[in-house]
Amino acid sequence: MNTPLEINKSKTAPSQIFLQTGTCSIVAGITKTRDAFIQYIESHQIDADLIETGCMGMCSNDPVVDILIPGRNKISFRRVMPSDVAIICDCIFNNILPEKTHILGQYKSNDRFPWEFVPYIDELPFFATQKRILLSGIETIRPDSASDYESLGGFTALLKAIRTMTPAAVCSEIAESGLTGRGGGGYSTGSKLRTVLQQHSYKKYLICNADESDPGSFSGRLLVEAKPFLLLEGIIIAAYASGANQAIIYIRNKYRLSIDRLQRCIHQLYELKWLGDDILDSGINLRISIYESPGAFVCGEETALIENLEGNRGMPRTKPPYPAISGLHGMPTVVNNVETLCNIPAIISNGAAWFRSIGNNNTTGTKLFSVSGKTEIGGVVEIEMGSTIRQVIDACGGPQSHSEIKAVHLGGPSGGLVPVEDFGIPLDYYHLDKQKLYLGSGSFAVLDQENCIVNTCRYFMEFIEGESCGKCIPCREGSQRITEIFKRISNKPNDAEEFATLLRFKGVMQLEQMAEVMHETSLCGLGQHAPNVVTTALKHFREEFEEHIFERKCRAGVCKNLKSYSIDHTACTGCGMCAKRCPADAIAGSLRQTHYIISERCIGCGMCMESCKFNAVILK
Amino acid sequence: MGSALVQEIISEKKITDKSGLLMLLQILQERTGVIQYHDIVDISKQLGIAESKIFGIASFYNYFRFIPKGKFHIEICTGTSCYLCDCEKMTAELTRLTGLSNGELSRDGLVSIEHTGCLGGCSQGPVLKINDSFFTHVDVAKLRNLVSKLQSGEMPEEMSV
Amino acid sequence: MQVEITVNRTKIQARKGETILTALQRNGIKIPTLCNLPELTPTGACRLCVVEDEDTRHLIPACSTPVQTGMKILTHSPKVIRSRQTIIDLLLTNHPDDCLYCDKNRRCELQSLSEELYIRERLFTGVKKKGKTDRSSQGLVFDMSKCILCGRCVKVCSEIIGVAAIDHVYRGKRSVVDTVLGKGLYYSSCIQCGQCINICPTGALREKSAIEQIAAKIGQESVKISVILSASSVASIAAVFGIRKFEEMTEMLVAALKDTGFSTIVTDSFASDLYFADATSLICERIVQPDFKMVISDCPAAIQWVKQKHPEFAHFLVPLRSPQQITGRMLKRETNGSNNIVVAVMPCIARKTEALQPNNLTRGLPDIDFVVTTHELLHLLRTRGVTMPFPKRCTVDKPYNIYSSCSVLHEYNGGFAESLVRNLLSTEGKNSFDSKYTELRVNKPVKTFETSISGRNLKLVSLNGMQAINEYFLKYVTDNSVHIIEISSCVGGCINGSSQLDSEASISGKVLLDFESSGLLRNSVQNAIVKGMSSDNVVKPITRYESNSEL
Repeated sequence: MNTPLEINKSKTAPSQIFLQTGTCSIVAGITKTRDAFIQYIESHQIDADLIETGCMGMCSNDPVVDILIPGRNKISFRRVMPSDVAIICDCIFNNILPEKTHILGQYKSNDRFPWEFVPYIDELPFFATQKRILLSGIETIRPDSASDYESLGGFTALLKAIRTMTPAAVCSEIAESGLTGRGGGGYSTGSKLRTVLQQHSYKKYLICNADESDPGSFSGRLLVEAKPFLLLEGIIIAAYASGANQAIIYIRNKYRLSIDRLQRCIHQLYELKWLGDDILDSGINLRISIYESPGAFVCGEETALIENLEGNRGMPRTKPPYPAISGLHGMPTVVNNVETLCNIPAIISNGAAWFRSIGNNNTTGTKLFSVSGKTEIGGVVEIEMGSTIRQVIDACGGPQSHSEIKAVHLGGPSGGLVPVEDFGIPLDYYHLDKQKLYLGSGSFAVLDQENCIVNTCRYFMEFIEGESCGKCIPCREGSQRITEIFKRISNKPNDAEEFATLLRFKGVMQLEQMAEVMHETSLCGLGQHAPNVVTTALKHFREEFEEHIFERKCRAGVCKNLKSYSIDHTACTGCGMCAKRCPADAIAGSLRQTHYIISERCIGCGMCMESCKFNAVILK
Repeated sequence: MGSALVQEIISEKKITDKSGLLMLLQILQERTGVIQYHDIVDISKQLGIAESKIFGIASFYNYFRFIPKGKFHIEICTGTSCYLCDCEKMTAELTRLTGLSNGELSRDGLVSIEHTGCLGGCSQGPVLKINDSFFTHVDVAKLRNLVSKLQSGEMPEEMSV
Repeated sequence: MQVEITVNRTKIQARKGETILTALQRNGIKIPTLCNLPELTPTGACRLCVVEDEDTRHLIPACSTPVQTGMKILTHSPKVIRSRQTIIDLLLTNHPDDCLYCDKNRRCELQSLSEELYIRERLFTGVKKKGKTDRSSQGLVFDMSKCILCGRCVKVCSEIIGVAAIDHVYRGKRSVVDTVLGKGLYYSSCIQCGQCINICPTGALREKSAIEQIAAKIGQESVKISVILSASSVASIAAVFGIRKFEEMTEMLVAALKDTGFSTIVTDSFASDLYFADATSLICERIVQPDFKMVISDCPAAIQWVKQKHPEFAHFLVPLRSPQQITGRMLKRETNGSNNIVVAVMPCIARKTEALQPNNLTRGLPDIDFVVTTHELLHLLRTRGVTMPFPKRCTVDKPYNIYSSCSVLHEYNGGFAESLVRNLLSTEGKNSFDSKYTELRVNKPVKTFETSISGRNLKLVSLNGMQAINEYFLKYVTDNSVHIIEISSCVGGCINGSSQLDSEASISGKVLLDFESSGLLRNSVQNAIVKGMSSDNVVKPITRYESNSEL
């Protein structure tokens, strides 16, 4: 391949330690693990390189460390805390297999000797179910190394697009591939780029939304952290296709790791003259800048994002005009999210037909899901479009032990709840739309019997209530009222209010009306999709609402205001443990006498029940 | 003094108009920890943007603070995955222990609390961040421990599972 | 270009590029709106103007959707009506239930919308937001619990007035309209123009009332209360009651107020003559100076604007007290007793602030104790059973009963400039009845007039309304060929003041003009008493501020 890049062939040490470093593993403490490795290597004089890679997506196993010793397959360890480093290294560098608890698996190779009784990584259900295109090779490369990225076949698409294709041809190729906006819009990326290309303007903007403002989505961040060059390559191709001469990566200011890595990568591309004036002698100019946003959920809406970039309150504009005609500073602007742009290089290299062969008839390609909640493994998975929800759950190891999955909340605050019965729905735009569901940015929160549906609805509506920009009435006022209705349902029965049950019942009747008006009249997608969680919950989990309203019972035991604790007189020994632990001073009784709970003071925390050794505390 | 800092950032980043305003405010807050009234007045004079507009823009984003941070700034994640791990029990407990709710600063200036969006430890929840250290898989007992240490003016050891 | 759209199954013609709302309005189809005001940019915030698209069955906002050929919409389908009702329901849930005592009772747009949409029960129950009430300002009260966040005040304050004292702050549930860090309007850049009160659909923004304080003083034996009536207020009340004669109305009001318990009732017209006479002599004095330039205004809001927005040009401001303050000072000097209270009736709230300015205090006490607006006066009279036309008449005390037509005209659109010009020319001995001066009365944002005084060329520019001031002030103040810039914050002069009654301003304007054309005394400088007083040591301490810096 003829590129200005030279693959870095500097001498490598015989052993390599790959530290999967992303925000998730930093939180899990990989920096300390890293220090422990450095210390170990130095003190034992082991000739090994420490390599920082991106996170491969098994976030619940963080920190994950892969170790390669001469002659043996690369082996992967999970949950490596500093205290585990010595034991693991003692074994591995002496060619002995360490304890099973930390072993995740081994990577296949042709010329190395495998470890016995160690599963192959790609045969683990987590990886076997996935179709890793964007995430492929993520654990092997240094994120900020252009040569590492090139070794994965990077930059071929960029060269192909700029050297052999016209912008219009690139647009058509992307349009033909069926790639749609992965941020939730589901609008054809190719046509969006083409609309901007057709505008006559001396300045056009391409904005990459890497803000990840959805509280349950982290796939974009993981991708940027692990493969920043993939995103940049996608941006350059998309800018070439749309004629944009200024690209802006809009990213949350708290994502320091992503910003640092992106900055280093952009700097390298400028040095290679793949950015700047006249890139690759094509006569095309492109500059990329990073905009660190203070962040707000509503800024995921493209016009609100543009308002933010212009230095205003991030309130959505009225459309039309659409940003493709008049966006940032009145110029044609195309806004895409990270995942969409990252799909572009593969489409260009392999062709639209190849991309269409992935997925199903309705939606092509793959989709990243940020799986969190009650599955065995939490993290990021890349699944072929058209796979079922059950497949995603199975990939993540199914439910956690002793738990039973009740529902999946799909698509973040704008999304809805899917009950177990519907886990067979193929994940594509057509089928989800039919169920009034929404893929959003791929947030995939798994709920089990310990999660209360009413409370989950309240959580999301409370989120909306705080994140609504406050501009239009239905969204601002509606979200407050809906939150209140949920709070009323899950609150302690108030005897003073005679019509309390009636009020709660009335509240649920009004929910539907309010949800409809919010959906129909809100100014932007945030408000329009906000009631989805309410409507889907009412549709599928009505009995749980009725339980809350009429029986004053929360089957998950989450709505603590509905719980009432009492002490069994026969079992209580009067040890006083519960009274000591009670944070609200709600337990009275003298020593060696039966204690009792003052229900007016009880906050329902359950400390007494936890602390009682004689099972004398009863929960009703 | 504040005025000098605003002036410094403006000339350093070549900010001329509103599109640089958020950058200016972010840098200002990174350096001083808080945005104060006199800063807003200074920025208004330097950039010719009305004071109310600056405050309107800044207050829109939860990131900006108008109350100083405490010596120990506790950020507690309220993202979806932490919610599913019952982070609300933690926020309630934190409020009960410190008497502070979201966005407040204790009178002695020791502890301030902020409920934030995702901190990034989505499979390690509930996640707590005190100044620059993370605390994962926090439960009520751990939280009590942490807070009592903080209230005695000590930074607790980092701990993870 | 014409576009044909179908509204409620009837075809109507629309213009290409216009919004559905304007097309509907032009065709006489009424749909409710709340946040939309024709002179402001659409925000699409209230969602009341939604209409149903017959093809997609979706609701689309009429205020921000442009018409398209072949569009089929329903303006009052069941779905549309239900949505509108729900939106109003939602607003009402978060709105105080004190309509009966509200300042805007029966003038409230939210009230009339809920009436229009036939809302007969409180559908939703919820916690009302606990808005604070900002009473820091001298002229207005901002009750945030009544604010429905339509954003009109924010738009007017920034787009038309150019002051931006308030803005939307915070977001979501916490969003309110407020000043910086909630410090209060007193500490903000508010110039008290009062436009926000006028356009506020609810009672969130209202005048700070002084009625209670005045009512407490009425009837106290030792207290004498004097009242200053401004010409605009008189004309506005005249228009409401269909009394077309300015002097008749004045006499009725004087009699009514005397009956109510006020002792001395005067108009500020005599003081206006003093003002113009002194302004004329000041101009004649200064015109010989090289680089002569003067910014002249008796509008406290406009003066405040210059001082805070362009302090570098504040020295051009003419150092004259406004007629209100001149009258106040005269009244206080006459009686010299501490139990004499002066109340001024004015067409706007800016006067409330003006009365409390440090340079309008005598020995620490204000020359004018209370300023009430035209509104408030009407309330005051109504509570005391006064009905118009009032059976009794009473003339204004001397010397306040003698005034020229200029003194009334200056409150009319462009009348201030005209009065100034007429007075200046009459010192030259020129005929001041020329019809070409009345060209200044045209309702245009910028009016210019050129003449020569003492052999020198004089160019006067009159800027009408804050929008014009924002746009052109800097241009003319730096233009060396312009000598006098006249500014007033309300479009159309004081007669259109923010606190005038809700009648047609054209009628009250007509009352002023009728008086102007019938008056015998045309110019302030011809007023015999003014002439008699014009020896410097009598007039100057009353009319002039000691120095420009005091302004």
